Amino acid sequence: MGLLDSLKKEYCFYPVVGDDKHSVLSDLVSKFSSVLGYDGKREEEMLSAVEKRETLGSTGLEQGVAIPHAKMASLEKPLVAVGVLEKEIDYGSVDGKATKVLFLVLGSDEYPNEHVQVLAEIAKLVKNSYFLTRILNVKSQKELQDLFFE
Amino acid sequence: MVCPFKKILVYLDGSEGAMSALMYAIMLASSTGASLHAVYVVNTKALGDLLSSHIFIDQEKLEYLEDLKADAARHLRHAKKLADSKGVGILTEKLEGAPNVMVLKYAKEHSVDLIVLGSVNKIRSRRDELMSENDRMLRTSACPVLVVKDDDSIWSMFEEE
Repeated sequence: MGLLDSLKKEYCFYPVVGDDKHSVLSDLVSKFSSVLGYDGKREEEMLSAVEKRETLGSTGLEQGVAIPHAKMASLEKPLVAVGVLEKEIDYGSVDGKATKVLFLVLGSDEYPNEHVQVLAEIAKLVKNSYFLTRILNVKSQKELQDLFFE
Repeated sequence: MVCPFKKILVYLDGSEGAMSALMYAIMLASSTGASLHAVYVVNTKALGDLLSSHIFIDQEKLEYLEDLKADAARHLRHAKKLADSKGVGILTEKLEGAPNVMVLKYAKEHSVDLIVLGSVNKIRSRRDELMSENDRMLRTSACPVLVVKDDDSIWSMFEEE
């Protein structure tokens, strides 16, 4: 139980494109939904849940990382996607700096402990300056995957 | 030959792996006569960390706290029901804090001499940050730890017994 039970190699995306928060979230959700085999309705449900959470307060943290997250009633287990943006955007982060990396975390009602555990592991991971430097400078999907599965 | 353990602690975290560990621990207690403790830790350490790192807002922290408490109650009730169904006595306990710290503290205070855990992480990364609570307990426990693989055969064995 943990991040590596919820994140797979094929859930790592580079580049994620867009000029603002809505467009990069839409692109990441679209790519993720495609890999998961979701139809348009479930893709819409995912985007809507994540954007609804953003209205309560930005999930943009410090150092170029954001962790958009939400619960999805239809999920059985937590799912995580990682996206590195083609170019930095203003995500309304707490430190006022631009955002380059998105960890998209979707939790389920049935397994709240796993959802919390996954978020806590990501929080620890992005405090590691070596990891942070590497993920902020990713230039390919393979390079991004190797960061987690090397 | 003397059984090397008298008190078993099974750690429940709400996962399917922990459910297999619970069944295995009940069968162990039944066949050896050891007493059985089931512990669920509401991970308030993680909730606090998520709030301080701005991943959670206050409202979310409270919502998840309630969700985790309900999850703990549900799983401990289920543990009691399963143990009762096999005629095994069980002490259930809900704790709050960092799971690896609280479980090991409880084990020490109650002289537990065997900890039973659900599966630990497969080795897919060398990153310390990705070590699970079960991994930490396994590495730092003062008493022996039994790791139960999440396998259908355990469920079948439990049903048949």
